[in-house]
Amino acid sequence: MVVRDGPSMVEAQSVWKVYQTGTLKVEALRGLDLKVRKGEMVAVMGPSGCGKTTLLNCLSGLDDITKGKVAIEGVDLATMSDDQKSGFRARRMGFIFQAYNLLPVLSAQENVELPLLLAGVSETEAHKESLSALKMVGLEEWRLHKPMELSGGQQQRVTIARALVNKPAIVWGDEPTGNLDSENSAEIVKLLRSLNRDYGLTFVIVTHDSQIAQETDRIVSMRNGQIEKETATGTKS
Amino acid sequence: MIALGELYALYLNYQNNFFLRQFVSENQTRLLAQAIGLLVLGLGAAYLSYLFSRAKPTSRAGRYSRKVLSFSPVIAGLAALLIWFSGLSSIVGGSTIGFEIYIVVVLLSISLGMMLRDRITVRMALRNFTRRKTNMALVIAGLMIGTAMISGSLVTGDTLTELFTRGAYFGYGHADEVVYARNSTTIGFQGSAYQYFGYNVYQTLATGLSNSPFAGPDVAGVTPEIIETVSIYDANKGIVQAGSALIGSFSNASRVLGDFHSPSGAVIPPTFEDTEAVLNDKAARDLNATVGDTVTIYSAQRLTTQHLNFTVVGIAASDERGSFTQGDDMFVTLNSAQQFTGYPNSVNYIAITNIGGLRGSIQYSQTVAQAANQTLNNLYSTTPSTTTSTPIGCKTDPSMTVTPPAIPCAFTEKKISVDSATDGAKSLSQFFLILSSFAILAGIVLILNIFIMLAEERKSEMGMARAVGMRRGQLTRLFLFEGSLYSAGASIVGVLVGIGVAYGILYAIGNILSAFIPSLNESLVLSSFTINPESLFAAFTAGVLITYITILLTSWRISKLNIIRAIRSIPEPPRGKRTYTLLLVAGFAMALAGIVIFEASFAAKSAMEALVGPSLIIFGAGLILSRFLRNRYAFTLSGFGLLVQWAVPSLSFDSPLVSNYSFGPEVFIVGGIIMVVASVIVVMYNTDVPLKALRFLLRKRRTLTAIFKIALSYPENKRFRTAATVAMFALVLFTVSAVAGIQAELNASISQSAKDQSGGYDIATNTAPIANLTSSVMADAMLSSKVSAVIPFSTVLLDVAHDSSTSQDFPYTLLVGADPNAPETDNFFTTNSFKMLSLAAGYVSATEVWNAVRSNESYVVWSVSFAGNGHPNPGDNLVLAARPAGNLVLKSVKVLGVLRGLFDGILGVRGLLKDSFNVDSGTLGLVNVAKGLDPVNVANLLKKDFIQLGMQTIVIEVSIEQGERIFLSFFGLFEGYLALGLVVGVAGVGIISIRSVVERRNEIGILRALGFRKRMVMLAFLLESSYIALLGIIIGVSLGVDLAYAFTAQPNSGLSFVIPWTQIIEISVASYALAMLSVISSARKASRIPPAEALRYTE
Repeated sequence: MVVRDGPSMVEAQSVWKVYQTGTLKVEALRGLDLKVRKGEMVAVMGPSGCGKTTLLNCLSGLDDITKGKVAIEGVDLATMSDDQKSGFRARRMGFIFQAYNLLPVLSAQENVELPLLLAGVSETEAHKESLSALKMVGLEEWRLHKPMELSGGQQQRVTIARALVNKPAIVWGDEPTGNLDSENSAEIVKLLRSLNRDYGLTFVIVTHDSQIAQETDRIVSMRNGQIEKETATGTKS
Repeated sequence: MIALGELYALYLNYQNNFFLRQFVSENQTRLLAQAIGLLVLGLGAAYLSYLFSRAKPTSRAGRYSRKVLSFSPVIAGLAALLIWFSGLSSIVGGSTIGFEIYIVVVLLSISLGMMLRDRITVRMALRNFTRRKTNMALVIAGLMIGTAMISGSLVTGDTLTELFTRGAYFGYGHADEVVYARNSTTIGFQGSAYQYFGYNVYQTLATGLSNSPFAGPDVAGVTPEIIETVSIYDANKGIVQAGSALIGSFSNASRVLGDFHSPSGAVIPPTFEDTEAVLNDKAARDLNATVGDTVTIYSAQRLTTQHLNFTVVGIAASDERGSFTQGDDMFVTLNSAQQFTGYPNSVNYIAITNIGGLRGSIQYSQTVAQAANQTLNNLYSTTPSTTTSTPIGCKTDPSMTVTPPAIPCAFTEKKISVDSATDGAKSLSQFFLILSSFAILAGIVLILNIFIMLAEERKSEMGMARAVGMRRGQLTRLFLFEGSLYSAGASIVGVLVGIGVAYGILYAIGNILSAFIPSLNESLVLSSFTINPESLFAAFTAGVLITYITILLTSWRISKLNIIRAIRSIPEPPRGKRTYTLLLVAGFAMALAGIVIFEASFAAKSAMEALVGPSLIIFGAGLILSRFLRNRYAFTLSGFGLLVQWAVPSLSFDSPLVSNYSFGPEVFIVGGIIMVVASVIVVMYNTDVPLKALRFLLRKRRTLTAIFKIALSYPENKRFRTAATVAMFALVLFTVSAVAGIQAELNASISQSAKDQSGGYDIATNTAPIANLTSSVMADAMLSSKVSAVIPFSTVLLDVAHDSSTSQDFPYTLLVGADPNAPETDNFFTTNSFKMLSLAAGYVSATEVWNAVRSNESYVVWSVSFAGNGHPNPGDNLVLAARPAGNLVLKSVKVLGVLRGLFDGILGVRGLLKDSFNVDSGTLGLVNVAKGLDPVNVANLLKKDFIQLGMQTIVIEVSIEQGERIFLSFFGLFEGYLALGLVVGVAGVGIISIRSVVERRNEIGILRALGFRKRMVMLAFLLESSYIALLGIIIGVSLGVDLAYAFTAQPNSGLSFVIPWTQIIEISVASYALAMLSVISSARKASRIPPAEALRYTE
């Protein structure tokens, strides 16, 4: 296991996640250990069904683990109530999903505003911040459009803007370029990388795309719910 | 097949039918040509079928074959209609229920045929049907309400028919036709006053009927009787009961009229002595009488001091014999009755009993009464000349009421009474059905909503199905099959629930009636509960038809999806120019139709046409404007226009334009629907306004802003779904609050209305005809200090009052005359405060009219009671015809005013009756009690002290108030019934919420990932449903209150506007709470979905 120096953002120790469907037990994560340091950009790779998305869900607090410990910024997720976890997500985390997962009934800007409003920012402030986030991803012109009126690449940019608008400590990406063509994918990765570099944001990205993985600091390869190997890419952050 | 069927029918009939044989022999050539034509047609059809069946799929015939096949359900439907209208309807009777059954059978057969041809679609439909059990239960619950309300209305109709006709059957018992002659000078509140005629009339009639070749076999017996109104005094208990009926008959009358039964069911021997009497249980209850008591009777019809004592030998149950007048009855021997009335060898009533038993005898009434009247017409030489051209003597149609009343004639009273009871019950049932129309409409909207939601849910799978080769028709069938299962299931459940609803209605009716009528108890009413299988089937077929047709149209609309957009869940593009051009054309057509309908209303004098015409113009204008303006502005303008037209009473319900037009409840139904639709249009095109207001209000509560934003974005984006649900709620709430409002207005006006109708008097009295009621009352030491005024009237019952101005006849009208020169306190003309509804030209006040009547015998005022209808117009000239002494007397008078009074009849001066008809005595009196005294006590004292006059009393205000309270209680029942429709609205909100949770599972995941807490997710769902429900409640309640206001704004309504705040708050809170209850479980479920699972979810 390769662990670099520096304060850790995420620390997972002996994490187990077991799904039970009727009499069938599926061990999605099997005693997994992982540390992500602040400002690091990590790619999680592996074949389908190896537990990548489960790992991301468990680390981000979207799902509960069966056994083990997950701490984010030193706080053990198990000690947090559901509401505390929600609040933590609203303030300290951002998410980028493969299917964009924007709310279809809200405009691009309203989608971006939402995390700010949840974090208790005033509506005027949220409006301003969301506009600058959209400007950052190059979509200020499209702010009034609803998700269905945007292309896949544009929708993913809105998702990124939404993930970053509350200046999170860590951004989780689940196949953020999975639905995009190579050109759009490259652009998105470039954007994420520059955000990591310029703002020191921590990224944990689940991906199948080795080219994207090569852009990160470290690649965690998974198999059968365990980390098979970790490889430093040599890309300097 | 038709030809073969017809030939077979001909063959069967040919040998036995002379006319048919004759017809065939006379039309041989034509029949031969028709037969050959049918044969050629049949062979041609068979050959085409053969060609199509053998055709290669790629050939032209194959293509045509497929085309024909695809249209086969429509062709089959049209053929079925053709068969029905071309002959089947006349064979099976052509009733509505028959047609409904036929259509349902045809539809189900067509569906079955389609199902057999398309098994895969059936399989998919079946699996979709059972896919989500909760959803299925909710859908069925929502769909069944319409059927339940139809079924409830019809079963209520059956039960009320049984309840009402039971009174008619028991009241007349085995007396199917009755023979009597009206007495024109004795008029009672209760019981009839008949003239006496010789016993020989009975004998001749009995002989004539038994010898009649066509009526004789239908007659079971003829019974001579005497009926008089009497006051009964129970000497043992010291209680007086005025207005009772004395019935004298031979002991052998029991042979045809049936036995008296004690409450335990035992037969009371009919062979009682002349000093003995049987009381019915009602009389016994009122007198507190028991067997062995001595009772004394006093005549209420003749001024006599004679009275007779009887010993009570039996208390008879109010069955077909004991419930003769449905009031207090006392049965004595014919001999005693003749002795008491002073008419030996005379009777005043003959009962004719038909064969067929209690309920099966009225079918012979017409024949028997005609035969009876023929015999009776031979007995009397009829007096010539009346005011009208109506021939004198008994009529061959015995149901006709206008005959010279002085001669005895046979009337089919039992049949008339049963028919009128049936009509009354049917009207009430019809009224419930009319009330149901809002809930049924809401149910139709629910069906639309449900199926459009199901279509949205399955959009991508439908797109996929289309992509892999499913045809559009199959998609329609997929929904249709599924819908058929829903409609059949919902209709069966609805019919059963309807039975429960009807029982509830009956229970409420029992409660209402028993609260006011002591002799009627709940169990008696509930024992009438009747379910007619025909009604259940009618409800079932109506339910299936409504649901099926709605689903058929929705399925057809749904099937027109774009495959790519459906698969990729891309929203429909905005409507193009072509659509708006079509709307423009439709708008012009609608506006044109509106103009034509409005124009037609002038000739038809129909309020409906006069009001709906302009609505069509306004709506058409909206459609036209949508071509040039943004939808929001075009439809908001049009919606506002419609709202202004209907919600401003002076432009709609109370418009002077329609004041003299025909105006039925359908105007309120259509008006209500238009107002609700207009409000929903306005609100749905302007949702941003309340949203902005909410956002402004919540600007400080940042987290709440996020929740509101999410919660309210969905209703704004899913406009049809929201509008449909809001409309459902609004429709139901509109009716409930309108009825509540009107009820409150009536309730508030009861005391004033009773005061207005009482004319300022406390008690009305009815006695045997007397000339000096005032002095008699004032001479009574017990009463003189308790009574402040007594106003006597001379009275005569007219044969007819003929309105020369309109040629309308008012038969058996009561004419009363008051003394114009009576002392001030006892002078009717100066003391009455009756409200004049209208005055003749040249008169500006009631005082002016009364002064004119006082000074001129030829001037009168027409009094119309609360329940009365037709009356002459002020200024009309009347010819009054009466035969007080046997000879016809005519007198012309002029009507100066019409007032709302205690009875239907004519008010004039005493001199009019004395000089024209030689009548100087009367039966009617009005009494005012001394200040501070209770009129009820004084009325009881009057009854007791004037028992020798058979005095009956009515405490006017109490009686009017009681009547109005019964009327009002029914409003409460209607309100409760309408509130049943809430189930539709609640089911609608519940279904939407369940669907929303499924639809938005993924979005819930995103929200949770973004930091939404569980509570916030739940709150967002609850807020969304609240918004929809509250919009519906606000629209419905506001429009309901507006309609209630329109009622008060009508001229002469006598009502003042009242908003029943408590009731409205109760209704609103209950509706809101029910809606939230239906939502809370799905909202909680939504909040509990683990975010990771929600994000993973794809439907």
